[in-house]
Amino acid sequence: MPSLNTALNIGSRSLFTQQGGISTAGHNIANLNTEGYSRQKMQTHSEQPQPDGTGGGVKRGIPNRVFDRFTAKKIIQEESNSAIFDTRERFLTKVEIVFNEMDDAGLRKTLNEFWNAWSFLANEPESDAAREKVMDRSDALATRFRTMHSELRSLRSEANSRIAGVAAEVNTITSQIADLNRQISSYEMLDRVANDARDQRQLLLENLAKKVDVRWLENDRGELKVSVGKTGWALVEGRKSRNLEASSLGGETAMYHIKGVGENGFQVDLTNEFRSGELKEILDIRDKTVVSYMDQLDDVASGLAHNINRIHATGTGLNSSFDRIKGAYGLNDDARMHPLPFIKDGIFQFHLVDDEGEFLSTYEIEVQAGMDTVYDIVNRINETVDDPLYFEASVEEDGSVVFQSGGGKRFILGDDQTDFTLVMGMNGFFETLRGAEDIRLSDHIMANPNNISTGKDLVPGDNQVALEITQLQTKATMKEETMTFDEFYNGILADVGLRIERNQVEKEHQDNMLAQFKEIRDSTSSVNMDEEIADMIQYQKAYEASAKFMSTVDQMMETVIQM
Amino acid sequence: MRVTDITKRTHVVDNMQKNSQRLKTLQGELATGKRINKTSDDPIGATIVQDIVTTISRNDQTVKNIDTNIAWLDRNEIELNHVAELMEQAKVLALSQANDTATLESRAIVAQELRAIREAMFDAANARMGKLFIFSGTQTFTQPLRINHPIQEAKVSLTDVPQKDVAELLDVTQFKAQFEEHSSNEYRVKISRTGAFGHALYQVSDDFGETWSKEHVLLPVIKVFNSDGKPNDEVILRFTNEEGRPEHEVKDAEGASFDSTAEDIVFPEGLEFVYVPNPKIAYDGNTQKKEVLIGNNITAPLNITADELFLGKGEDGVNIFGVLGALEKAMDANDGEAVANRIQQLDTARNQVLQQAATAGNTIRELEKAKAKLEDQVFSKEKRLSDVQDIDLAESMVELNTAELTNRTSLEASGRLIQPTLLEFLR
Repeated sequence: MPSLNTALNIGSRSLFTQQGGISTAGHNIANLNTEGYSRQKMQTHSEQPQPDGTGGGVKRGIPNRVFDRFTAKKIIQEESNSAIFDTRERFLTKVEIVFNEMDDAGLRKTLNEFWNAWSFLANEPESDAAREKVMDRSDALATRFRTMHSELRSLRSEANSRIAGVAAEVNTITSQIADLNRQISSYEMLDRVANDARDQRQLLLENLAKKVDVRWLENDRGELKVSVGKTGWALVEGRKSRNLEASSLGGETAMYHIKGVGENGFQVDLTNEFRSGELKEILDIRDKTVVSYMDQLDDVASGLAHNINRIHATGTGLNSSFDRIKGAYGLNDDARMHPLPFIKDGIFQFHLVDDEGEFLSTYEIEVQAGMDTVYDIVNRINETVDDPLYFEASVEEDGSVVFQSGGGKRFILGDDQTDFTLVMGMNGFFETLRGAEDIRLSDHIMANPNNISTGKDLVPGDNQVALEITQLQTKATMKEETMTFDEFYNGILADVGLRIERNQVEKEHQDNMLAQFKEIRDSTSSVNMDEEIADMIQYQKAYEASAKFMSTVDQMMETVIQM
Repeated sequence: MRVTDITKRTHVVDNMQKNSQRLKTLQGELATGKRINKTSDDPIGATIVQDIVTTISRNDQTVKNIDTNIAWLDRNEIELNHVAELMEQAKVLALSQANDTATLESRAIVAQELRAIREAMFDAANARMGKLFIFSGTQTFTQPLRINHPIQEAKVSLTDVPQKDVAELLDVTQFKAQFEEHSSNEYRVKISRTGAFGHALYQVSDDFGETWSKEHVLLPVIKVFNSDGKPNDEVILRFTNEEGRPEHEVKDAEGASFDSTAEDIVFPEGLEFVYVPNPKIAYDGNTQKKEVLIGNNITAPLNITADELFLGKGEDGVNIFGVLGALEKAMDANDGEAVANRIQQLDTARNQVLQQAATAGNTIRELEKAKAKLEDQVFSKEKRLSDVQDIDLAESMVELNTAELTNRTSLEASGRLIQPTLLEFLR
């Protein structure tokens, strides 16, 4: 027969349980705004009935975490994908600023002014103003190219330093996960609740997924093993985390590689391992996207320089005879010994003139492509002229070719079917080895705008060279002569724009998807204040009722005692 | 689905973001008046904008060039009209002196006037625009016409001499002769009787050997005679040896002190000296036409050279200075017939000038047409540019109003819904 004590027990457990419910509701409300928090639900069971069949009251369980494992997994995967679009948007917007053509300082505007200056000069080859203008606009164009190139380069190094930053962030997160692993396993080994630690770990995992693609597995001690990349290199194993290290192979300027540092300092190069996440996208941007834009910009600049120089080299300006030309490009020791590359069969001409520009003699040098080394050609020039007092060609220490006249004679370059003068950088307009990075006006043009070639044979009103250069604007010279410079550059612009546009669409789609998964998660796991208040009232009422029950039992006991 | 405070907040924040984005975009578009403010706003549109801007900018430059070129041609036209007027004056003067009423005195006065006209024409031919000579081709720094002084050598031909004799005779290079002064005709001097100076006879033709003058005695220095037998006083022939020294020192062109016993050269019969014309006025410019851009890859030749204008280097051209010179000489010689004979040539010369003036006029019209076309193109491109990149103001304002309304409504709704909790209704 159950005693009143049992009833008192039921009452006190009930009080204890309702109090726990209130606490849980309080805990939930307190964490209403805590990121990653999963609401908890007090578990209660009815006790085993007593031998006489009456109920044994309530049994307080542990607070449960309301958590949807599947949705959480999905969110982590999509966080990695979202990070790609976010990062891409961030950097492409910066690339777009470099290629910004919608204001007045863009390359296209500078190019327009450059061609217009040439058009002006072709119309008035004798005009000093036109020459100054061509010099000024060309210098502006070269500067613009170099500026854009260096902006892209600094974008690359920005991406590079971000890579180191991401690696450091990953390391912080993984060490925290390892800590939490330890905490959770040691709590749960003692059957203690580690709900909040698990929430924190889940949040960290989400943040990690934004940086790198992750796979994870929970072992029977409740510890997460987190691995990264195609081959699954372990970042966290049990209570230990392993670091990513951004290391540059050589020197300050070199680009970082991402290495995984294992036990005993053993290192694995993970640079090409990542499948998604911010790190993967930044590596792509640094090594592919930006590099490809730099290359294309180089193509425009060197194509421009090349095509203009080819025409310019054979022309003359105002009284622009030379007593010395030093080629802009030097051949290394090896190249000097081999047939000169990029030249064609044919002849090139030069003329000796006097101070007044009167022609004294014309020389034609025959060149065989694939056969002649630079020495062969230089020797042939000297044999043809056969008058070292008046004219001599030589190869300098630095591998450049020098033409030098003397004895009061000067010289000009004439027609060139061979590209010899172009290849050696003689009487060029622009000088460049690498394209946009180092394009600049040739020294002799900078020194005197009268040296800008406009015609042939020192005829001051001859505009055929300037006209031909002007018409390059609308001539298909790029991409195997299928595109004009403008069209080619438009291709770059459109590419940047379209990438951003496409990325915006994909990002929106991705963000919506992620938002939906998060909504599902939040709808399951996050706290509704009204609900909690309702629960609180419910528990409060139950608490009141339990107290009433106990005082009733108390009165009953009084009654019994007074009997 | 369960609604929680976080999902509610997420919704509110997301919607606020979206509305703000829309407002920001609209605000940006309205502030600049442009639909495309960065390439990614409309990548294809942005490249179209670039192309249009380039075309407009290129056309503007070409129009500027054309304006300069029209000014240049206007300057040409002024000179050409001036020259045509001078030709007209010359013709009037010639006509007045062609009849028998003209006297020696009147012709002498007209000869003076003709000289003045010739000088004025010379100045016109050397006219400049700024520092540039306008009739020198592309040698714009070089004065196109100059008074010529050099002496031109003769070509020696032995076509009429039997070949075996040539071998036996002297080296061809031994026979050297030079013109002194000038000649506008080609002269052929043919040895008609073999012999040394003082013995050989020669004949002269000024019409490529069609008709020949009377025979004259060959001397080291002789005047050349026309086919009608009159000596041409501008042309003197001087024979030299290979070193370029005269074979014989002669004081008198008539040969009075000539010593025929010196080492004589024997001139074979049929030996011919051919003298290429050597005009008094020489052209130092070139014949290159300056091609200027008048559109996209379309060029037009701009200049007229003094060569074709005055010296008749074109087809059927006349040497205007030659004609005027001859006329002047005829006046000085009081030769009415010769004056009358030159009038026809004056007409031809005048036509030559008018023809060039017409060419310049045509080029000006061509340039003006090209300019109008370019300006039309700029106009239509500007319209197209506006179509592509500008916003429709009315439409954008309506859109802005809608977006604003949406934003307000959404904020108000959010404000009302997010505020109340169960707490407010307890107690």
